[in-house]
Amino acid sequence: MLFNSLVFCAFFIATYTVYFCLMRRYRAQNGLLLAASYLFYGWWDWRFLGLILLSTLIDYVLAGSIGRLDPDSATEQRRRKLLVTASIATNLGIIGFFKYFNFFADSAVDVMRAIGFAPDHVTLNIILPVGISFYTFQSLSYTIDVYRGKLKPHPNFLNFALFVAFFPQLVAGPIERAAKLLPQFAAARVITPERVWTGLYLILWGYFEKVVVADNVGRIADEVFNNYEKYQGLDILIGVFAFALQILGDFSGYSNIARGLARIMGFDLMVNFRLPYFATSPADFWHRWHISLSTWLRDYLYISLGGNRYGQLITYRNLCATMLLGGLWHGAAWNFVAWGAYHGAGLAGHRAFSQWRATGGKSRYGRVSEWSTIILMFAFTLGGWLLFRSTSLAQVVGMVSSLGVRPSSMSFTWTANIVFYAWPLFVIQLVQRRTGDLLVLTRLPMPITAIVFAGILAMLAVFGSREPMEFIYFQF
Amino acid sequence: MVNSDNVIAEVPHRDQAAIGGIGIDQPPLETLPREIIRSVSWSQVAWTIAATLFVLGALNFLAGAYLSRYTSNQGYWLIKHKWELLERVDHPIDWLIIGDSSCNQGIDTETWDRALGGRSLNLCTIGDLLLLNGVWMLAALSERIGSPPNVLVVHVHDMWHRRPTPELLGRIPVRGVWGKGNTSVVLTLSETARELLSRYAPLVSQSSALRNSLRNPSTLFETKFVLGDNGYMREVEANPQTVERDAAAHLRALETQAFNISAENRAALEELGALADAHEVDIYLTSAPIFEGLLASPAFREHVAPMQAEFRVWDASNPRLHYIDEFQAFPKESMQNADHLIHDAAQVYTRRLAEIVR
Repeated sequence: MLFNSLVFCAFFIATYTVYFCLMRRYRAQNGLLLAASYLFYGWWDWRFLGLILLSTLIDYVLAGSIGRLDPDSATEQRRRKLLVTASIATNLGIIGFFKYFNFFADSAVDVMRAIGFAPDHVTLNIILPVGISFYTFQSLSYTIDVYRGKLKPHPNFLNFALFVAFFPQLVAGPIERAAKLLPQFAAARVITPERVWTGLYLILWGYFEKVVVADNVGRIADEVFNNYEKYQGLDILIGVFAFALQILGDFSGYSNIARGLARIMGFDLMVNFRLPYFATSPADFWHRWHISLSTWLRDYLYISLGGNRYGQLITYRNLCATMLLGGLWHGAAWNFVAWGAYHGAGLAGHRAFSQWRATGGKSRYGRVSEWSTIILMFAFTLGGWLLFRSTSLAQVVGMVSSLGVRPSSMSFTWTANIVFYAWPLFVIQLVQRRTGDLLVLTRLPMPITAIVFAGILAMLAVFGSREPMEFIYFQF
Repeated sequence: MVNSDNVIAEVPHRDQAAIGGIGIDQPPLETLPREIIRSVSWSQVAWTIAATLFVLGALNFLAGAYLSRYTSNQGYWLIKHKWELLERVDHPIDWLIIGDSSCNQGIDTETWDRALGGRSLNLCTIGDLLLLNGVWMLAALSERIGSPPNVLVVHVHDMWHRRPTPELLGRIPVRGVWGKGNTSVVLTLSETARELLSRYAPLVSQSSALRNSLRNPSTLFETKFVLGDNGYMREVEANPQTVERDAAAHLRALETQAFNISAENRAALEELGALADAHEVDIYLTSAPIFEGLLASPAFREHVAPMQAEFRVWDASNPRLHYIDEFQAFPKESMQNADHLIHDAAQVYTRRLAEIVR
């Protein structure tokens, strides 16, 4: 069930109506939300409901057991460790099987062939369950937090099951933390006019980002990336730029819709994007892009690897390893690994450069303006998206070697199309950056708000694709 | 506010340095844009939503007004303007010409009138409205100014199997014209919703035409189509390449689509017979002009043979019904696609048909 489909609209209106009628009975609301969430997920493929239930049961039971053991007792601490390892192994095992089995099997076969063996192919026809990377990470973080003593085990299974399966963010995040979301399920809802107002805005703006910007600009990206041999010079750059806008509109749009839907039901989900293309460095980029994943990787992977506690070299290694695995999280393909490595190298390189400057080294270029660093960082980001969207090393090499500034007959049309569909995004993001307020559009005077919102709705009607297009991050 | 009873302790960690934390030269979190929520009341929310919907309604109305004149969707434009032409006619006519877009630009009323005398009116629209629309127009015209003594019906061969589309019914200016008599079309609830959207929500239903207009601002207020006084649309630019492509597409379609007549078109054929008797009208049915390359194809001839047989039976069922079974073929240089003529060829086609009718 896609957010941008009529089926989902009908589903949400029906769910919200009943939810509203149950306003003073939050436990009944939770039951309704859980049933709705399972229906939402089962609509795609009911057989995979078992997987969510398995993740839910395992983490609920194991975290409960961990919470009952005394961390100060050596024997019980060993059991705690065993239990958290079991949770990690099970969750990663599920992801590993469904998401990475074919990838590693194929890669192993390729390696063996390269050294002269001819093994049988062991690839299975495994369907990738939608959203598996999101909900298993969310569920896993709960057990780890309990193990680390940051969280008490939650006493109510229904609330926990809802935490894992909450439909607005089930299939593409934001990856929420139990410490933030579970208490919201365990308390009565307070639906204020501010929540409804900002929630509606987030939904509207999210749909605009997805349906008007991402889906339309994405056609240009698809054309260039799917037929890269046909294009060269400026067209390649336009294609990569189009993909940068597509993935931002698509993913940020999804996150905003998810957060808006949750908010009008009385829940706060974390901000997942903070104008990422205005980042001034790789570290800044990860403050702003897919924040729920970058903070997850920081808290559960980078810190576990040792973080920055063991000197510079180990820190660089940890940064690279974290981002490499972060890349692999996106999908079972070498381009995602390369993208992760690219960002890891960017983080490490920028960290080394910053330290050198802080210790008295001088940049050859002296002080550069903030906009220059934004443009430089955006160019770096585009390089990453080239790796991310390509399907082979040959494609990366082909596109990079064809890159240039010479326009073709298509260059002007594509540029005009990008500007035509994405200008509201450019304008609003500039205003958001200038004011430092992501909700700036909700603070306009009422008549202007009405005109702006009606304009957005009209653009959705006119420029929206009639066939709902899938969100890119559903495949992860 | 989030209730955080379950959190034992937020453990700040200096490892929050490099990824999403506080880098040594990184801006602290406070400098990142954040969500500032202003205080609003329920009444402010309600008023803003109401005002938004009002502005949206106004935009929708403006879009409708714009499209009724400047749309790039020829089919929608034709339906509206041909029905309006019907509403404007204030004198008796001798020949009513109904059918699809091939006849809209294929039967030149001036040539027809010169050949046969009297006055003709071309109310041909588009094939997707089936024969039904022609029957409804004949009934409406008979009601307004009396029946014409003769009716010419022209349709392409691949119209007869089609079913009515709610979106197109929504383009007919007189709502509910399809709900009367033996040719009534019953819409389901979802079809009614589609018809209503088509009629009252041009922002949604005519989004392609709006998109085309907005993406070509230089032609925003350019009239795209012109009708003659008697409803004939004169086209002058031939497109031989499109003709060949279209013919190939027709042949491909024939492979999967055996000839048949949909229930709605069959009802419309029967209704024509009834109207012919009731109003003493002579009705002539014929096929659209066709590209000679397509007509030469054995597959095409095989496909239309049962159609010709069906219509001969129809012809024989009533002395007022006449079927002209001969196809009129044209070279690609005289056409825009496999069944649409440019003006010079339209005159020839019109003269040939007039000869046969005479």
